Amino acid sequence: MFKMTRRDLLKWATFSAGTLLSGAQPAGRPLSNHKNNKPNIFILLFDAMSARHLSLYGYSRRTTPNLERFARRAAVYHSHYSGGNFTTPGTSSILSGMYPWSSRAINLGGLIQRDLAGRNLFSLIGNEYYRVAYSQNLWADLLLRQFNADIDYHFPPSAFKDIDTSANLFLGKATSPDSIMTFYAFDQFLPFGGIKPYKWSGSTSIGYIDNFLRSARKTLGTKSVEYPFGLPFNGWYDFDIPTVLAGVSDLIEQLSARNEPVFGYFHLWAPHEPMNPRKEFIGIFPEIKILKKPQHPLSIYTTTSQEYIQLYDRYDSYIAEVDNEFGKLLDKLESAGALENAYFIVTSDHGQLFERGEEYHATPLVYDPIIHIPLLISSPGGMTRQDILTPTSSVDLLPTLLNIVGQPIPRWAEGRLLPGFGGQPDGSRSIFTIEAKDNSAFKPLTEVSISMIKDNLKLIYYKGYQNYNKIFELYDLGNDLEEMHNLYKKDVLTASQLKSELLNALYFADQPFNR
Amino acid sequence: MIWRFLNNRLPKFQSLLPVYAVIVFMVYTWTIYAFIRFLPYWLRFLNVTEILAIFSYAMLSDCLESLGFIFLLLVSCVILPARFLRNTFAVRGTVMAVCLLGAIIVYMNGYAKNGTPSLLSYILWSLAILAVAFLLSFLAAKIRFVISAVEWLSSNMTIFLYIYIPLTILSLLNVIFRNI
Repeated sequence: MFKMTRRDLLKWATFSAGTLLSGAQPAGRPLSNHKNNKPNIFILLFDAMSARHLSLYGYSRRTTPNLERFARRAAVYHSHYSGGNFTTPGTSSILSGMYPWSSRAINLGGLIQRDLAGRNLFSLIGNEYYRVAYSQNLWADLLLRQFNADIDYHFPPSAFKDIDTSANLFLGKATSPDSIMTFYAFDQFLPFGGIKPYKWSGSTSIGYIDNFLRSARKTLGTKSVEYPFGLPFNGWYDFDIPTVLAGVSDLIEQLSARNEPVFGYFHLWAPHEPMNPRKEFIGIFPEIKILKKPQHPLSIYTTTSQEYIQLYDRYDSYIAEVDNEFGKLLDKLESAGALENAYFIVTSDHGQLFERGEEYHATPLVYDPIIHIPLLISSPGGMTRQDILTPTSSVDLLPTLLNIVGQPIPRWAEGRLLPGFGGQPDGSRSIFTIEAKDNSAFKPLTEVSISMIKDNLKLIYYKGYQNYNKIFELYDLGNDLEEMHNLYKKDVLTASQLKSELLNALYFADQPFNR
Repeated sequence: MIWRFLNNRLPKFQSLLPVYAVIVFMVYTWTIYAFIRFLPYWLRFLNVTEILAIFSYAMLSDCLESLGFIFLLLVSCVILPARFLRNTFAVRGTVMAVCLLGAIIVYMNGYAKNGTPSLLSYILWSLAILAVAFLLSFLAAKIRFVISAVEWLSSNMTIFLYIYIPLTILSLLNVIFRNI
């Protein structure tokens, strides 16, 4: 199994294509000597990080002091929304600049429509850039595998980990010629392991051996004094956050020293569940009161308020740990001057939902905590904070970054330039989030949840669910961020206008599939 | 000398083939069964070519798996006294293959319903199955009716080799094509 230690990383940096500077430059000075004077671009994505749990955005618990520190030099987007409510649509929206209803990356572990896979940031940014990608999330890595032809170095998901307890033989072969299908065969179908829709192994002996290792893991556990809940686990392997983030910060530092501009995408698993923070972050926050919300008809759990509080505690502690390690990364990059010639972006692919009978994000619901995600962008040498309140979307990153690097924005891009980077706040613009994991990617959307946010208003449309078909909900996020008061039947005129717009957008999105 | 030793220890091809056929039948059929369970999930977002690719990889994996299993039985033949396994390979090999692979299949069905078991129950289950497999294979070769029934079964299983081996060859070609 591919495994990258820090020593390997240094070797990679020394021998990889392109020329490196002979050594790091003095602290506080830009490292870059790019011939074409283009800035580096680094995207750091924390999986399943809800903006609603970040003190950066006003959450009552101080979960993110280091993100707040980073925000002092960055544009901070307060109403930023993901394109979907789980990894595949959320990540594809960022990387393809298309909403999931266009890219068709809508299913669990799904893919972007094959003939659209060339529409991605790596390809469009161009080969003037040295393009690097890494994802700890195997489903996000599948999308990166679709872009392999446009990525100069694709780190395998198992890079940057010192702990090796998983059994999957093929994990890490992210760049083999048929890496996508080998993933489905060897990482999902044949073993028991991984995240998949059925607890079913396609192979007698591989399944049996794999399950033996899982039984051992379950029985012996990965709990320790340092990790009372066990090690963080991404469905395939255990890891610890400090090692992964230290590896990523080493890598960014090395990449910053290249004499060509670099575009790097780093997709980190934490704070995705299982939420297993280290001991020092457990119980650090005061008690919290959470608003009791009614059970949603589509929800499957009957979680009590007390259980939700426990989930909040775990999640907040985990975010605090992630933030702490992010702080170390920030210190390192600042002292190396790596941010002086780089756009550094922090975001997420989706949030989490601990309310209304739902836990985490395997849900058809699209309420605010599950789609409201952080976005911070620091510009080269930026030293001031800029707060952007207008709603923005994951799909906006692609056009914004293309604009920054001087590349044309393709007509098919569904996003707009972000305010602060050439775009203007536009209250008339609608932002969409699409959830259709059980719908065929090849057919019109018949089982789907859609959120449309326009200014402060949010319309939710549920279509095709058993006993919950063609239902609309309307909320005024400006006065009711908790989405407690459904205005759909009260503000009929507004509801009608928004409904018409949403249905129209859905109609056009479905057009190519209405054969 | 080694060849002569192995020749004395290994079963004849005529008794090896039906046992291998039983293994192939169980290993491949399980995969195809599980594959059908997964099919609705894949059909949501993969096209037919892609699904066939997964199937090809699974068939190749099954080929290695079945060869590995027969290899283990042959190693047992070499290690154990000839009268225990070699001389009655068709019967005892078949019973062992059916017991061990059958137990894994039963176990995996249980897992699908009840989740990951504890390590202890896993080990106990494995040991119990091994013991049962040895016991049944020992007894099977003592009862004339069972001998003829098992031999009839295993020899008829060879028909599946005519299906699964060409399928494996086609899968291999598909995998080579996809990776060049």
